[in-house]
Amino acid sequence: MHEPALGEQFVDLEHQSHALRFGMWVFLISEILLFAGLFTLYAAYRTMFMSDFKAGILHNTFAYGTANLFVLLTSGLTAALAVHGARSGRRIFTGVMLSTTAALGLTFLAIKLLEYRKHFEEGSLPGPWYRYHELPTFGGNRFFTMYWGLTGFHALHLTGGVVMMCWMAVHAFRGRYTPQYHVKLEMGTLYWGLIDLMWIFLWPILYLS
Amino acid sequence: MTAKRATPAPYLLAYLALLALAGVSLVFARAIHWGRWDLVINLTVAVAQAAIVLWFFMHLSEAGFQVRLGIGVAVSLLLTLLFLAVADVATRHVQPPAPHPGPSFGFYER
Amino acid sequence: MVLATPVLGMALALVGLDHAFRLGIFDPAVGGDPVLFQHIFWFYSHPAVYIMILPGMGVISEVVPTFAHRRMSSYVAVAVSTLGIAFVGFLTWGHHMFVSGMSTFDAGVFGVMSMFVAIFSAIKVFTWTGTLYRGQIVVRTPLIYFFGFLFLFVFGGMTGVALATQSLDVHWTDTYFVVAHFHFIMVGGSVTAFLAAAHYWFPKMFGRLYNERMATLSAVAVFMGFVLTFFPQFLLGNMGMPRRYYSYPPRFQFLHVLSTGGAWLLGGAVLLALGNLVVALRWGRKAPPNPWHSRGFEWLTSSPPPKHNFAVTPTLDFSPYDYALTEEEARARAGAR
Repeated sequence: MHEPALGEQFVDLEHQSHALRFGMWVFLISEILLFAGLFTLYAAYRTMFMSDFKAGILHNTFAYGTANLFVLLTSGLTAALAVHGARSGRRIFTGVMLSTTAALGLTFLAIKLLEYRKHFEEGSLPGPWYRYHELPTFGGNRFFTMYWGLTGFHALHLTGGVVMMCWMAVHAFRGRYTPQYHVKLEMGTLYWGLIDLMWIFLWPILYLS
Repeated sequence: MTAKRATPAPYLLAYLALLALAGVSLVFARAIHWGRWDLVINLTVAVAQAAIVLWFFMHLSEAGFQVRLGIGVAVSLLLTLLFLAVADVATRHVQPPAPHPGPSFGFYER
Repeated sequence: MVLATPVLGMALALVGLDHAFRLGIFDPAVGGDPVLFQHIFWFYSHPAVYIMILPGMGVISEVVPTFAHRRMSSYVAVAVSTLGIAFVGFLTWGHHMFVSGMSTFDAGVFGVMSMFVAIFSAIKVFTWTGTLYRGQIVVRTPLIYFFGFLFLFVFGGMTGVALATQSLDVHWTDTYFVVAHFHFIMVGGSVTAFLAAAHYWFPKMFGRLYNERMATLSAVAVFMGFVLTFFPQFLLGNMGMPRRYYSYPPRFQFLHVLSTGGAWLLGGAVLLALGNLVVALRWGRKAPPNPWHSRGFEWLTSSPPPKHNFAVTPTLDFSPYDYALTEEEARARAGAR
């Protein structure tokens, strides 16, 4: 069984766990503020080009976005179940749950790529490449530029999350996460939860009219 | 501070609640339409979903006061930035509210 | 810092993408709005200046009780004010944008918020001054820096409140008045506090004492140099001298010369102060554990401290800054060797 290392500056494992957990939350809080700029831009441009944004939403790829919502909500469940598995000492179950989460993340990316390909065909691309005939206005351009920006940054973060999930799955199968000390698994699932949270807010503002 | 849960039931119930809330949003997206209230309802649903994910999936129920305070501060700052930027755009006395698109100042055509 | 810097990261990333891929996120020619960039940029950059001043204020909160041999007149007031500055400082960013084309509603909000945050700084200034009252004041170099800090920070703060008024800012924006204001805070505040910290903890960090007379002389010279450099800039800015211009009408010449002379004096004084410390590193007398007779906990250990700070973990059953105890009593209670 792998013995967790205790850092010199910590009194005991409990102290270290608390510090790691709090540090992870601080990171998540900084990520919330990172997306704050994008959400602000979206809200400001929506106020400026209200009718164009609503038209843009109606023309957006609703089915793909909604499918992705359910994929991510399910992946949030599997990530939480992985933590449950570690707490109950069920090594294989934990590994399977983490692998499932990673697989669902890859599913999200696959659907996203199909969605982006559809946008390519339609011409609803960001910035100077915009050539969407259904909505040939500045507001339409702004909407889709914000769409690509928001979903692009989200997808980047999700890709990182998938890599991390695979890494943790390997560790879980090797029995690294014990009921007494599994704080790194919790930290990883916290990050995954954040990605889930982002999409929960991106879905209504980009796809729902 | 690892609370031993005997069952995974809370996670499953939370998941069902998330699905149900998504269903509510879908109803307002496709079937019923209450005009400008649609956005309000959808965002309220999103906030509720976020609260469930935070509380159950991200174990905020076990986290201490400092973490919850930190999240509260981060969200309030996000809302401040958003609100004041939108207020700026909304209260400029220009009709129409968008800046007039004019000829490009030539920066990109180098 | 954790909360604000990601917003800057996003602002810069978006501008980078804008320029690299011509996305036009902030380009008015395709419907974008550069004022939105300013909002996102200043949302970080104003809290950033509070990031720069708050540690300096923390230093002052250590230095003043030590040299007055009194606990802070209200520790709670200073602690709450720190939190107040940190939070309310996030709500004031628009005062950098009064002439950008932002709406007047927002300008009003930001003006009020900017004045509000000054209240917390004022509470701190009054608390520090109140700590000196009825203290057993010993004047050493760190306290001299505090006196400089007090005068310069108050001046800078008051001109900040004046600048927060949109109608006045229209006249002063992008002039030397703004430059003078933020240098009073940055140099008169932060750098002075930094020099105070350097002189206060130097014996603790390096185990050496520096030449007190040279240090005092350089502290006074820093103050004189600073005032000579930046006070004329208030006058220049008010007369209309813009920022970032290298040429100007002859009637501004005299004040510019004063400012330049002051800059040389300030630079020389800072070099003198730092040089004095560098010399002390090699040739200074060995420092005792507590040269300032402070009750702060770091002074219970040797100078410099061993690894993990204390040879034996101390038991601290007296409150910090308890100047009612004599130094021997404090050391005995802490079980320090």
